[in-house]
Amino acid sequence: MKLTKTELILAGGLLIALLIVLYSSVIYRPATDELFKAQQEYRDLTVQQEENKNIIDKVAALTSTRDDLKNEIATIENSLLPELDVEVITSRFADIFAANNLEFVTKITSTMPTSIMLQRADGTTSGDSVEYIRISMKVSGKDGVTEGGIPASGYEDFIKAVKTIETENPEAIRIYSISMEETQQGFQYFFISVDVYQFVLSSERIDPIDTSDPYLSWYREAVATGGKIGIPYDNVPPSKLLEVFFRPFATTQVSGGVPAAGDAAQAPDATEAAPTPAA
Amino acid sequence: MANTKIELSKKDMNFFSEFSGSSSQVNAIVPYALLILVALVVVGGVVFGFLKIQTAAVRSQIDILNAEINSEENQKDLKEYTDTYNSLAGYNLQYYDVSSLFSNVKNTDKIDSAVMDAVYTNLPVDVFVSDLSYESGKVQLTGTCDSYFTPLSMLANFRAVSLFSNIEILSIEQIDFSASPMPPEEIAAASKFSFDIVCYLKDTYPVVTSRLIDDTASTPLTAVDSQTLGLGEKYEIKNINTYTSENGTVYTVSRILVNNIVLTEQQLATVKQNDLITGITNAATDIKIYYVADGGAQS
Repeated sequence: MKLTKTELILAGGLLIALLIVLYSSVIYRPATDELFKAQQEYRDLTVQQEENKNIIDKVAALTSTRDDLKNEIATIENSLLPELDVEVITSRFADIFAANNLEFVTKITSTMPTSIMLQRADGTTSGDSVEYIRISMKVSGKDGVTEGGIPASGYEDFIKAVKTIETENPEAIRIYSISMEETQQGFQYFFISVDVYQFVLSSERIDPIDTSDPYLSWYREAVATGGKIGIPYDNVPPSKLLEVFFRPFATTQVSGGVPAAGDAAQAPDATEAAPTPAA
Repeated sequence: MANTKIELSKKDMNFFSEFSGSSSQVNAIVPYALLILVALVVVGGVVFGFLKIQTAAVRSQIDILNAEINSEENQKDLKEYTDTYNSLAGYNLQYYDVSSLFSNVKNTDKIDSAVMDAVYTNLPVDVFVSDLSYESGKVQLTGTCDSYFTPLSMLANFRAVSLFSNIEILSIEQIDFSASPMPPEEIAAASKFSFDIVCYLKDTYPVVTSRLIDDTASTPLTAVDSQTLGLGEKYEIKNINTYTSENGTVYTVSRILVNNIVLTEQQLATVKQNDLITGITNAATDIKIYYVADGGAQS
């Protein structure tokens, strides 16, 4: 078979084409694929790096926003007391009255803390809540005449004290009511009921508790201890000691009194209650 | 047969002659073919080498980027962002909680000593207040005076300074001294009338506004806004249509509830048109504005 020149060229071309196809599929395509893959990976990483950079660039602004938010929260947290120490709060009120010539506190009462819970819009209950106690006090004015009652003090002093209490911590210390009772003896009694609020937080407070707050720390000197449970004989005023009184321990019972109607049923029989004398 | 042999031998010779004839043609083409082949090999090699060099260069860049991305500093910065972002979300919720609770406290009733100052400065000269109480927006005054119109003058004084919204006279009554042990001269000097009056301060109500994401958790976007307004006062809540959060996300209003009643399409359209919620205070008002992230997707 004689091949013409054209056929030879064609055969050579075919061979070259075959080689090119082989080169393309075995060498070139994998190499380009590898390059494209690497370039794609590079682009992805560049995008990721750019995103990371943008994210990292936001940290400062985000931190600033968070700090602002923390300050806002701290401001609100500090608007109410961090704890309710009834003795400290009452003592502070008494001091304010005393500073306004109303030294004679005649009655103090307080309630158990009442909770105010928060139900969020999604129906869940917040772990944070508010509690308040109501402290009521009765203080006496002075007539300005009676020894011990000089100088006179009355409504004007009372309202000054009210204003001090009202303004010292206006959100946490909220005066619920005030009233006055006339004695018709030249002086008056004044009443005040104050609701004192605290936050009960599920997380740590942002600001530490300010222990210098007069409503938080006990500032009076410690009293001597040694109180007694039960009133010993020596501490009973002689005028209150009754001669005729059933004393289970008495060797000789003093009798002759006329027992009250209820006493007869309650008083144990002396002969039963008295311990048997030792032989 | 002989002819056939000759033909065959000729054919063999012709084969060689054909071959030799083709070979000469090949010989003429081979250099070109080799040249093309070599050129192709060279080009292919150069291209391959170029690709490999390119790939290596890109790989090198990838390694550098990977090193940067995975660097301790980068990861630390990213972690800082994540931590800050998460803490921000936590603080945001805490802000909503404490502000809501604080709003509840702020809206509880308390006395205002300025009211008592106004009462005190407007007492007529012959009035002696013997009992006084001020609680829950109600001031009760009991006392004595010289005439029946003194308490009325006192109430007129209160009216002049717009102190109270309503007043109830429980009694203004002449005092009966017939059974009094006081001597006549003391009776002459004593107040002749007693009065018992209750004065009511203007009712106030809280108007509380919350901005929330319209998702199942109703995630708060910010602290509640609380104001205490008097009965009949107008309230206005502005900038309703959009809300931009701390991280720059823009939210668009989706629905509004006022005291748990959803605004109708028409009411919502009016609110959107004016970018404003307004109303007259006549009761405690709780406004919840729900938003979706821009594009309508719920966050």
